Amino acid sequence: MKPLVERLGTEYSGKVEFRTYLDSGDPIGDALAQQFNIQYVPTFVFVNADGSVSGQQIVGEATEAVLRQRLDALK
Amino acid sequence: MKNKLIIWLSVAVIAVIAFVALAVPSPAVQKDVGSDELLKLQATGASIVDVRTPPEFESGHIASSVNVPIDQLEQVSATWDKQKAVVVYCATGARSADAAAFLASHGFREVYNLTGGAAAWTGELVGGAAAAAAPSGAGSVKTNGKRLFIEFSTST
Repeated sequence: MKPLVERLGTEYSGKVEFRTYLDSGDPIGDALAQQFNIQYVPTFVFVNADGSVSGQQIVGEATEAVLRQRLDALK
Repeated sequence: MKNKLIIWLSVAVIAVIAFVALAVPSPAVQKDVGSDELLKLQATGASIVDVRTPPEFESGHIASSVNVPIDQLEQVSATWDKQKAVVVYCATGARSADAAAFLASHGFREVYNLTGGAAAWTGELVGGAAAAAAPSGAGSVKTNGKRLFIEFSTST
């Protein structure tokens, strides 16, 4: 997933902020993982500019088409 | 004499072909479907199987679907009617593609996979009362006014 996420991150730069949290140890990542009850990786969460969560989390590998659809749906 | 022999041989060949065509069951159906087709299949009695994990299922699922996590599919499906149509789905269609292949290879006659999974499902999801207000089971997130894509992953 890494090359795909990096490519989309570049493409959506300025429109969507991409954050990646790997494993534990990052206080912000750990807090968010707890907030979203993350149990499996990879998991993807989409958040609108107003802070509201957009749609369902995606758990597991996702296709480029699905990620683009969800990114484009962000408000 | 030679003509009669040819005619009889032709009849025999046609008979054998007809016998084989009737005796061998039609090939199993395994295909990808969209939301509309899933609803049609559901209306005709197909089983809708969610192969995601229980927490994912509880966060919201297609109405009348049953939750059989993919790691339990082999054991649970052993008791199912293999003549009955089954539609499988997951979050994005990846796990359910494996589930569909498994079911088809184990004698299920009609197996369908929801393309794009729950992420691409255009109908309503039920069962996630808490999730309906906060779809990902969480409140708001501090965003600094920007849209956010958050990936939780592993470095290994």
